[in-house]
Formats: sequence, C-alpha cells, structure tokens
Amino acid sequence: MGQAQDHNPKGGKVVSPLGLLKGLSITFKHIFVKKFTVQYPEEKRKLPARARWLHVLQRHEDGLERCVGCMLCAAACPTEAIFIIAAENTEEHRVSHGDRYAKVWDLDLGRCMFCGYCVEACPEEAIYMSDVYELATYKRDGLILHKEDLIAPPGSSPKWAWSGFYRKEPKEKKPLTQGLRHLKEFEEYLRGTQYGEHEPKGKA
Amino acid sequence: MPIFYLDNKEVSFNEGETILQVAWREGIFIPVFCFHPHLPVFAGCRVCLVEVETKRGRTLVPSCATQASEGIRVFTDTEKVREARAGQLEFLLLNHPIECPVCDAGGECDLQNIVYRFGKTTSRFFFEKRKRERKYAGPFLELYPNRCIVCYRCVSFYRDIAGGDDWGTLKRGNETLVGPLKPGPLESEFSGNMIEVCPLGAITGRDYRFSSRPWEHKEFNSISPHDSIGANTRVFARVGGPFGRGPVITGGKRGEWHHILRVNIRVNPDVNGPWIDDRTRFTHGFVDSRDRLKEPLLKRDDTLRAVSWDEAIEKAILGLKNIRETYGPQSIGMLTVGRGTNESAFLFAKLAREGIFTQNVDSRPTYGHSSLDPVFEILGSSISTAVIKDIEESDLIVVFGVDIKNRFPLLGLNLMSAQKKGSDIALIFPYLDKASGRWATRHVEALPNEYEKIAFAFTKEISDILGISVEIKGDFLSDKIDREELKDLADVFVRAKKPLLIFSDDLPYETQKALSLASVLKGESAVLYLRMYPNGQGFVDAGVHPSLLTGQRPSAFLGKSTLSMLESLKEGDMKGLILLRVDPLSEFPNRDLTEQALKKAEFVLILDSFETKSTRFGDAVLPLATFYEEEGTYTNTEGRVQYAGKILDPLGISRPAVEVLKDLLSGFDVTINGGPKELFESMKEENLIYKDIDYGQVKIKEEAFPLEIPSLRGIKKVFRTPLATYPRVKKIGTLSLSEIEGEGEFVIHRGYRLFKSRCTTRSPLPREIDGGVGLGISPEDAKALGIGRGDWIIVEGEKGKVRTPIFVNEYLPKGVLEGVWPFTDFPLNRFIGIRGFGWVRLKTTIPKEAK
Repeated sequence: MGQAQDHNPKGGKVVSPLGLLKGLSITFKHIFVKKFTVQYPEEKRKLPARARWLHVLQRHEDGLERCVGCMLCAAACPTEAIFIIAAENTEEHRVSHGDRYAKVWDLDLGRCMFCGYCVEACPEEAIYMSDVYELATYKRDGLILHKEDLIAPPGSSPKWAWSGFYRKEPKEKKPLTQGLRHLKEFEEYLRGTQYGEHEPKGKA
Repeated sequence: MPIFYLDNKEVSFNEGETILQVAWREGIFIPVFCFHPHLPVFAGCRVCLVEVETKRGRTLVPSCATQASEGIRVFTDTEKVREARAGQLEFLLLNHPIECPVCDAGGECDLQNIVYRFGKTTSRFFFEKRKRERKYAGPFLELYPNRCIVCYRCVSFYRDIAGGDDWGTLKRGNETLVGPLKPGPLESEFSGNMIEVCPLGAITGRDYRFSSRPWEHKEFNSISPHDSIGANTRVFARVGGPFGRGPVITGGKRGEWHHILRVNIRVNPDVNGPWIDDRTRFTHGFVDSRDRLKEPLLKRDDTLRAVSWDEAIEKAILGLKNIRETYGPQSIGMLTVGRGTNESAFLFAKLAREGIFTQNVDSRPTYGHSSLDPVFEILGSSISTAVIKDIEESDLIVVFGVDIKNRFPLLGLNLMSAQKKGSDIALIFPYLDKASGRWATRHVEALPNEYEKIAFAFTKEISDILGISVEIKGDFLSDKIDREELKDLADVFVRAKKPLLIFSDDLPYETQKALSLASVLKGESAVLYLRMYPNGQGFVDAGVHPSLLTGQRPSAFLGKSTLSMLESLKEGDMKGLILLRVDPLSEFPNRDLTEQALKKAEFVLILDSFETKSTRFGDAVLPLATFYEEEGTYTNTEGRVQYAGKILDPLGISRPAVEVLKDLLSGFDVTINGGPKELFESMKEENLIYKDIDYGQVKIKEEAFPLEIPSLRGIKKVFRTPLATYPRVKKIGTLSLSEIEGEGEFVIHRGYRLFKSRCTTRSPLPREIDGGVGLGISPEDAKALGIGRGDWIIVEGEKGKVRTPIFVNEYLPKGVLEGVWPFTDFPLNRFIGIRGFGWVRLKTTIPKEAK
C-alpha cells in the first residue's frame, strides 16, 4: 500500500510547492497575531478569577484570627496535609474569639492537592485559597508552612475572604501574596511590620 | 420465659427488665440522654419514648423506665415516636449553643450523634439563647453550664454513686443550673468520672481540653499504675506527627504532639467496675516530668556524669563483680518496692539468685520488719483470700489501719455499695473522716502506736469466743484500748456469715500476723490484703522477697529484709546495693539510718526513671522507661494478672527495665532471649502461680456490647482479666508483742494524700490539688500552740530537728501528728520508726513566715 502511494504514475518525481507555502503561510500569519507565550518569570499571566492556590488564614475585622482550631479542616483533608494543635485563649493572650485558638496550624504543601475541602469544612470561614501559585522550594522543609507564614497580615481587609472569588481585576500589587513569607514581595512588606523582626525561614 | 412484641417481633425478656434493655439486646437502637446503665433511672430527657399498645390503647412511654410486661406490643419507630423524639430534641436544642467547633466533645457527643440521626434540621426558635458563663469546678474540671441539657447524669453519679454532696442543681425548671454548690475544688475523689458520664461537653477535663479530636488520637488499653487495685483504663494519645506521615505513635522522635492526652474508663466488672478515680485519670504528666533521667550517669570525682549505655552497663557489672569477689555475694543487697512489670520483677529476682547469688533481695514496704512473710505463714500464700468484688457480698467488713480514700480510692465505691446493701463496716483507724464516714458504720479509734495491741486484743477476743487457744506473748491489754468496743466487734465478727478483713502490707509484722490469724480462727472469714505499692503482689510472686523464691516457694536460706540490709550496710557487713525504682531516703522510715547506709555503701547501682533524693548516692545510675513507655504484665492485690502496653517511646535514651536487667544478667552469664511474650512464658515455667494464665487472655479479653451505642462512650466493651491460682494452706501461729519504742508528747505517723505520691507530684494537674504539705496537726493542738495552716514549726525528736510547714487536719485526734508520705521535701521520716510511728515534741519559737 505504501509503495503504491509513493509511485508517481506519470513517471517524474515532482514535488508541489503548494503544501510548503500553505504551511509557511500559517507561520507568517502568526507574526501578526498576538503572542500566546509569556516571558515567565519576568512576565506573569493573569489567573482566572477562581484560581485556588495557597491557603491564607483570615482575620476578623477587629484583627483577631478567625481560626478557632476546631481541626475540622484537618479531618476533611484527604491527604492529611494539615496539622493543628489548639490552645486556650486567656485574657492576657487573646488570639481568636471564644475559648479556643490554633496554636499550631501547619500545612504540608508536599501533600496538599489544593482540593479546597478545608475551605468547605471550615465553620469560621477562616481559610481562603489565594492565587499564589509559586510554591516551589529547594528544600522539602520549605514545603511545610506554619501559621505565621499563612496568616493574613494584621490590619488587612476583612473582605479578603470574599473578594477573591468575585474580583474582576487583580490589584496592581497583589495583596494576597503577602501571606507568603518566602516571597520577595512579602519580605519587603515584612520590613515595615512587627513580623519583620523574625528571620525569614527557609531562605537559601 | 415471658414474651412481648417489639416492632412486631416476638422477644423474650427476664422479669424486671426494661423495654430499653430488651431493645438494645435485640439490636434496636433507642436514643438516650439521661439513662446510663450504671446509674439509677431518672427518665427525664424523654428521648427514649416508644409507643406501647396495651388493652387501654396506644400511648407513648419512656422505655428506660418502663418494665416489659407479658404480651404488650411495643413500637420503636412509628410516625408518632419519630415526631415525639424530634420534638424533644428540638426542645433540648433550644438553649444549647451550637459551638461544636470549639467544644471538646465535638465528634464524640451524644447530642450531635442523636440529633443528626433523629432530629430535625431546622429550629423554629428565633429568640436569643440563654447565656451562662463557664464555671471553675476545681483544678480538674471546667463546667460549661451553657451546653448543659440537665440530664442529671452527673448529679446522679456524684451523689448516689460517689457519695459526694458538693455538686448538684440550683433553681428550678428552665432555670435549672447544674454545678458545684460551693467554690473551690470538688471534694470527691471520683469527680473526673463526670466528664465521661456527661453525654455532651458540658463538663470537660482540664488535661484534655482543646488538645485533640476523636479522629486525631489513638486508643490504648492500659491499667492504673498508681495503686495495687489496677483499675483498667483506656489511654488516648495523639496519632501521627505534624504531617500525618510523621512519627507514628510508638516510633520516631517525641515532640509536642506526642504525649498522653487523657485516661478514660475501661469497664472491668471484677476490678474497677465502670468507674475510675481521679488519681488514675489525671496523673499522666509524669511521663514528661522535668526530673526524668534521660541518660546513664556514672560517678567520677564525686559528680555524676552522663555516659553511654555500653559504658554504664560495663561499669555497673564491674562494680558489682568487684564487691562480690572482695566481700562475697551476700554483701550485695537488692532493694526495690513493687513498681514495674512482673517481667522486670522476675529478672530482678533472677539477677539476685542466679546472677549475683545473693539472698538479700526485698520488695516489701519497710514498715514492719522481718524476713518472713506474716500472711504467708498463716494463710499459706502471701495474697488476699478474697477478691475485690467480695466486699459487696460481705456482711461484716473490718478495715484495719488503711486510709482507703487516699490510698485505695476505688475500694471506697465498693464499700459504699456494701454499706447500702446493709453490711456492717468497722474502721479501725486514728480518725473517721468525711470520706470514710460515707461507708463506715462503726469506728474504733486506734492511735498508730496501738495498732499491734488492738490487733492482738481483737484476735484474743475472737479466740476466747470461739474457744480456740492461741499463744499470745506480751502485755497487750493496756488501759488505753477500748476493750468493750473490740469485744463487741469480735462478737459481731464471729457471728457474721461472711466477714472480711481488710489490711495492708505496710502494717507492722505482728499486726499483720494477728489479723491473718483472726481470719483463720473464724473459718469463713476472708482477707483482702492490700499491697502498698502498685505491683507489690507481682514482685512477691516473682520472688523479690528474702524468704520466698519465685512462685512463692519458701526459701531454705533466709535473706535479709530491707531494714536489716540497711543496718548491715551501716555496720559495714554489706558493701553493695542495687536500687530499682525506689527512693529509700524519702519513702522509707528511719531516714538517718538510710542516709548512713547509702553513704557507707561502696557501690550503689540505681535503676530509676526519675531523679530523686537518693540519686546523688549512686555510683552508677541507669535511666528506665516509665509505666507508659514499657509493656508488660502487672498483678493486682487480689492476684489478677493484667497487661499494659507501650504507648510512648522512652524519653531520651532511657530503656525499659526488662532490657536493662537483661544486659546486667548477661554480665553474670545468664542469657535471656525473646520478646515480652517469650519472657512471660519462661516466667510461667518457674512461677507456678501463673501456670494457668494465658498470655493472649491477659492481653485482651473483651466482651463487646451487642450494639454500638453512641450514648455510652466509656462502656462499649467489657473486659475481664484472669486470676492467678495460689496454694492455700492455713495454719495457726503464735503472736508475740514487739517492744514499744519510746514515749513523747506527740505521736507522729505517716499519712497519705491521694495526690501526693511519686507520680502525682510529678504531674502538672494533680500537683495543683493542695491536700496538705508537711505536717498535719489536730485542731485542738493547733489552737493550743496558736498556729494555723501555712505556719512553720520545728519538730524535735531523739534523732534531731526538722523545720516543716503545717496544715490542720480537722479529723486528727489530739496528740497525733501526721507526716505526709513521701517525705521528699521535709524529712519527717527521721522520727518515724519501722512500725510507722515515732514520738516527737513541737517547738514554735520561730516567727510566722512564708516560704
């Protein structure tokens, strides 16, 4: 069968240029079409409005944490990526409303598959998934994020929890990246806050 | 057998059974809140309503309180029942705050489970819910009255079962408030059971609060390591590390997440029944105590320095061998008290008799003094002839010289239930306090220096009534003893159908002998012989005893008892000493003698988990794992062999006692191989008492409830543990009164406090309970001296002076002082002799000052 197709019945071996031109025409056309690729990491693409990446722990309007350490997110997590130790609020040290707060809220990004069940499970709407997707590290330890890395900075807008899903355009300086300690932007932010006293963790 | 119809099915029932019991047995689940199988029926929550069709028509009845009767038709799942239940649940939820995320019971809450299954999804109540502040209820409990649904389970338990009166209800109707009736800690030593009795999270334990969720932790079967009753417990520890895959519970590094969360009830009808005491429940923090020994220490230039295990074991063996070669094997003494597994006791005895070849090995409390065993001599075996459950069936019980509340709290429940059944219970003790007042019907006041005389007089009265002659030497009938009362008691004792004598192994030797003799004279009488230390029975069975070999076989060669060992060390006849899990300085009497003995000893090897007062005398110190870090079997005071597993990894590089003893034995050319099971089997070969005990049975023998009932958190399964068989050859011996030591203004004896012991003082929660520190004094004496709680005083005796804080024990008779055992901080045991008392004077020249 293959032989029969290759054989030219007229005898000569003639290659038509039409096929080549047809192919090249597409190439030439694309010189004038808008570019599809971006120069990552210098250039970053706009994410869909409902992109759900890194978790951010929310705060109430009065600055207290929303998380009460109920461990329901840890229970809902299919990959067991969340580990919580709860503790009791005292008059001197009040972290959240009510009696209970999360002393430790650890997230293992090596296990997390960003399914969002923890967001669904949370009775306090304390977890929101941001559009921070640059989570690669050089060490495995860097994949383990603690509450200090994930908590929204004090004084940030309480509307965060909801603004993400329905926002039309991301703001110029993404506030949501501030949740990550190992990001450059966040480090800059840290310098002006009380958290700046800490040494950034997991920095190469 | 009569029958009735349950959901159109014919079921048979026993006379007196309720509909609920039959339904549960048949596998039909009826929800309950106020009903608890071990508490009186209250029928207040109305969630267990069922429809009953009788001749008079169909009606709703509470199934927990309605007895089944012949031929009735019961429907548990009709439209009417469903609606009644759902309506009732809606009522219960009216004021119940839906704060499950922050509630401790979330995930194991009956209200959650039952509403989820039987309730409505919406509420029609749109008014504001009733709000109440949470309430302090002692260092162990926190009360959330907001969550309470007033089921009265806790009140029923606290008042009817535990006999307390400072917990109850205030106000009426919708305003009903359950809680403590007066400020401060709760009086009852069983208050922790209310956490488990509560169907929801209204009463929470301070040790467990916020620390975990039911799906986060793992459950282990264990027993209580705090007294020789050996209450069965379930121990909860957090599973996994921070990221799930992290260190599992018995491996890896210990971190903050890796600790014991709480201790709950495990039902064993033979031992603890459905309850445990607060000491068992809240004492688990000692595992992470700051004074744990974490690495082996060797003494160099008079200081203890950390070394490796290999070096430490090598030096320990070398030190012992040096002593043995220079002074002979009998110059080494081996001292312990009943703490640790049966396996470690077996190896300890083996190390003595087959390794070092010394007979000087003892595990009994130092109080009372002889190499012979008084109970063994009279009753044929050193063990109780009764079991704990016999308390409830005895018609006369004599409790001799045992502080039940502070030492064997669980027996208090048995005694209370016996008293309710109409038993006559006599307490022979210096005082009758509130806790013993709940069960004691008679009280014979016995000063600690008169125990022996009273025991002799009691035995004499019995032998007189029965006409059996017993040889008793000494002038025991002094004027101080109330002979009429004793005669009356002896008379009742002889006439009783099933009398029971309860005494402990830290009474003087002759007292124990006299009491055993009393029980032999009266043929049907049983003895409950309480061991002072948790596994004292297991250690005696294993042969850690100067005159009994493994399996309680009498030894041809008599070794030295603890006291004579210490005396020989002081005299210089003995040179070496091995201490296993004992702090002789603060636990034994005659502190000066102990101190001199430890100073004089050439080589002291200490195996212990904690740094104690005696540690500095050690030439080699080997760190051991604690109770929750090693596995093995334990024998309780009635001879029941029970298993406790390993829950945590040992702290630091400490190791289980069994492993360390194996290493020491290998230095003396005795090789022991195999794991815990093989060790138990080889122990059975030598210890014939345990020959019928199956290791698998010891580990777990459970009878599951026919139905998984969410309402009964603690009692889903019933466990049983096997009893060892002891030879019993009774005989009648002779008694002779020991010399009475000295005279003085005050008599001081050792007193016990529930939360003052080796483990409890090292656990954070029980430490907060202030049962009294230092020296207890009677109210009259305190008034006469013009001192009160917290003042300091100088106690003077023949052996010197001790400065100590005092507290007033309102029950103490005049002229009696009480030194709180163990004497870790205040060396009052300097004045206390081996019979458990001593004579002192008090001096109040120093001004008041706080420490």
